[in-house]
Amino acid sequence: MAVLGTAGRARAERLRRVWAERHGVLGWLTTTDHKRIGLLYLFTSLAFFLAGGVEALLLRTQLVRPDNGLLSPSAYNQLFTMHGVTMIFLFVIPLSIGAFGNYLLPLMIGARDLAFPRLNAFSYWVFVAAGLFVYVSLPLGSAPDAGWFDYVPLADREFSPGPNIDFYCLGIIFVGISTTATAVNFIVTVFKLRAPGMSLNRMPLFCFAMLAVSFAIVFALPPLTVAAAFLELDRQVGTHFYDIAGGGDPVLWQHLFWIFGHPEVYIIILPAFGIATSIIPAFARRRMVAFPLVALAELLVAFIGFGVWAHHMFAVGLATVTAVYFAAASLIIVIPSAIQLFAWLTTLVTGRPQFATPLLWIVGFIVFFIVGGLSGVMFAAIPFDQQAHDTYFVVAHFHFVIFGAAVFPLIGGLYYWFPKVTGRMYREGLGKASFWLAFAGTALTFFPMHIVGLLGMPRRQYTYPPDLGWTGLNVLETVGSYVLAAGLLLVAANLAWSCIRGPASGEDPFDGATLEWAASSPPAPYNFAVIPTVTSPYPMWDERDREQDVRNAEAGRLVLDQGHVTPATTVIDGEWDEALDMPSDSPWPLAAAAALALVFTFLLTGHWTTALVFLGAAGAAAVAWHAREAAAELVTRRALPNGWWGMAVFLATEAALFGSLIGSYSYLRFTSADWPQGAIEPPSVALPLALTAVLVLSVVPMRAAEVAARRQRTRAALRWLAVAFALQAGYLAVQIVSYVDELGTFTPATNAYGSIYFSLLGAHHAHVALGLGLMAWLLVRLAGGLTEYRVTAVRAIALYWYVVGAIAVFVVATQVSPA
Amino acid sequence: MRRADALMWFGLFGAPFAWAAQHVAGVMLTIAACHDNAVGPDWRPDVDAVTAVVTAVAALVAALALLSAVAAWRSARDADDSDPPPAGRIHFLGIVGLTISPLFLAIILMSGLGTISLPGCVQS
Repeated sequence: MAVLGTAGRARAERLRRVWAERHGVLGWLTTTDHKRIGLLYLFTSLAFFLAGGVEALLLRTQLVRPDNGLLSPSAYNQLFTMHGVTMIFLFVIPLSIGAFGNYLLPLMIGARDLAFPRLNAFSYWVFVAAGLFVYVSLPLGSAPDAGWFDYVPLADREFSPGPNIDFYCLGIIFVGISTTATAVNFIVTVFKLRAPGMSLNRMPLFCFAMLAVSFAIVFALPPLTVAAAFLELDRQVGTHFYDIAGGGDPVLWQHLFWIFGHPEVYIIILPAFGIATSIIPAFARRRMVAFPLVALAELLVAFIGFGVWAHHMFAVGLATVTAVYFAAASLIIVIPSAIQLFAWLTTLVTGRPQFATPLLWIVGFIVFFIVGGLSGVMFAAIPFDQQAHDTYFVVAHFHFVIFGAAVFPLIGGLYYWFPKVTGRMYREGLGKASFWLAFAGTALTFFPMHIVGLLGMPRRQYTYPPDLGWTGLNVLETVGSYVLAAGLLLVAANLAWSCIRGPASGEDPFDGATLEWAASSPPAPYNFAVIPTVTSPYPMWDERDREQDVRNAEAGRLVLDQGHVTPATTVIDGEWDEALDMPSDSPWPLAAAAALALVFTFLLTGHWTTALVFLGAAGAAAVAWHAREAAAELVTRRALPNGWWGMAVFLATEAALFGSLIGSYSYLRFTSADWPQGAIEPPSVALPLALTAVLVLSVVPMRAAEVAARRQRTRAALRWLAVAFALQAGYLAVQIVSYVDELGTFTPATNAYGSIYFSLLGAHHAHVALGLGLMAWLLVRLAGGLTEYRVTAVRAIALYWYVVGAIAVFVVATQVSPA
Repeated sequence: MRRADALMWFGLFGAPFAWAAQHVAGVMLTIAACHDNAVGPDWRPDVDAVTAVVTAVAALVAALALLSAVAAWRSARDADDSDPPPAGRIHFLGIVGLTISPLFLAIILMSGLGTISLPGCVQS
């Protein structure tokens, strides 16, 4: 922002006082500032990157010559599994979404924080705890060792009796909580906190990418959670989801895993696309070519990515008529990727590109994306896929995509936004040298893998005999990996040195196009002294708008310095809605995450009751963090409140979870010779249908409570909520009695039918129990009268029950279908 | 603008949802048909016939979505991508709709015609 006058500076100083957090270690432990949390994500994910990188170097050193004995087969299995798990779950996603998304998203849309700052802190601490949970296994010699995809039956108790796979299953469920919470937060932030004037068509492409990624996470992680929960139940309880002898099917694991796994590729690479679309216009000195098409391509890749999962399973033996659905989608998904590629290239060719360090990394990304993308198209052809399956050709393909195409833009982004975060410039010469080293190292490491793969070298083998012609190519790959490591170390050295000794950068050294460059470097705790005016997707290039900001600051318009507030706008057109009182720093997110870490630890050790106690502690911490209410008057909004949207997105995750459970039920049923399996009688129809009718009817008093709350009729709202609570509690009580009664006839360990039957119903009952917990909390709060915060809570919890009612219909239809 | 808004939203979401429905139905149908399942002793789904119907309906929805997107875009053709809403937004999302609808129509036809033209229940 241009220089403020006296009045503007006074207002900025007032904002600084309002938004200040604690200093020192305590400040970092309790922070809810998106920038500080972004930095915490950055350093934590880089620490995991270091660990994953060392693992990769050990693997490559083992393969440098035939019959090498540096690593034992067991150590090799653990290291390649940990390398994959680390790079995917603990490095790329936390860096791209946690660090870049957290730091930049609010700045780019002109907001002062994310929609749910404490949820953001919780996400970070859960991520740290989950990472440590997984890594504790390594020094214990019990690290996951069945690959990052953890195929059954290898991962079943029979073939993996140690705790290795338990660390994997519980670890990925744990880290999934963090990722999902972040995605919910980002979606609501993009929907609701854009600066006034930033309608959808004026939103930066980076934000479109983050929105696409967040939606992909919301729908992709539940299948993985279900898959891992099934496996853990198979291992700990003796269920039969993946056990053929018990009526299960190991291919179910592959379906569930890859429904997550392929969208995961786009979850990893879309932030890279977003970074590329930020850097290219800045250094090409022109607006992005085909802006709407690039925005749609980012969303389209994420959407079609959900329909291609079985192309990872073409060698499984699926019927061709099933595989053809996935082959068609896999071929068409190339088109949105190509749209972006041509848009980037055309922008560069028609602009005046300055090949500074950030742009060089993006050019490297484009080169590697083309290489990895072309080999990806080859896998859509089923005959080729079956020939190259499980060879190093696949390793080459996905490393060009996941490292070359996903990580190169992240490093370009580190250089690009380094001046914004630190207020200092990096060394350009060292930056270019680091790029060329890393570029050469990447090409040298991964390109020969195509050839050695076509020569037949299989993946995941700890050594190979000397007479197969693979040795020379493996030497090249290993040399390349060390060159790559040198390039990355040079990046670290450059940025570390520049952080201390680099020259001052000023606010906008690259003449960037998006709003983060309007903030000071580093940005103040409140981000913007005045909420920016926006009339295009390139607001920093609209000089009149920036001049208007200065006039607004002087006049006190859109400054919002009377409290800890940020503006909320309408979802589609970005019109002013209200000023939101934002939560401040708090120790409760950390406490809740710590309690959750203990839950997973005791699940691992088999102390289920103790785990339940700590789950209660996590719930208590969540109640405590909501003790202070936002100071808002009862208002008439133009749009739905943040809390409602947060609940809506959370429920989308829930719907995906139940979709995965019901899909698993259908799959097991369709692949089973008899259903219900064994001598189990079909379930009764009358009682489940009657109970579900009661639950569905409970939405009527919920709706009445919602209407009463919005009309500020406290007693009526309380009365209707109590009626709904009684119906819901009665439903659950009878269901639990019925559940326990049925356990006397058959159990989850009887066969796969029993496993999926009790799991589906158990998940549904847990869903209802969670809703009852929310209702109890709401009734207590409402007893103290109605506030704006409590009206929003009524609306959000009412929405929860509407969706529970809808899900109950699908669950009961599935439950009684054999009858 | 209310009519243009409706056309814009249908043009944006019609084809993706048609494809998603066809995809889920087709995959479940072929899995059910190609296993020794117990849906019922007399339940032998005619994969080709069901696929043809599902594909035709999905293709029709996608084609209508394409026409809707074209109509929405035409209603705001004088606007620019970054113009204020609703005209700028309708123009922007109209372009998105008329670009994605043919892509989804292509996937729907490729999947449906591929399934019908291939022999049933042969392992790939």
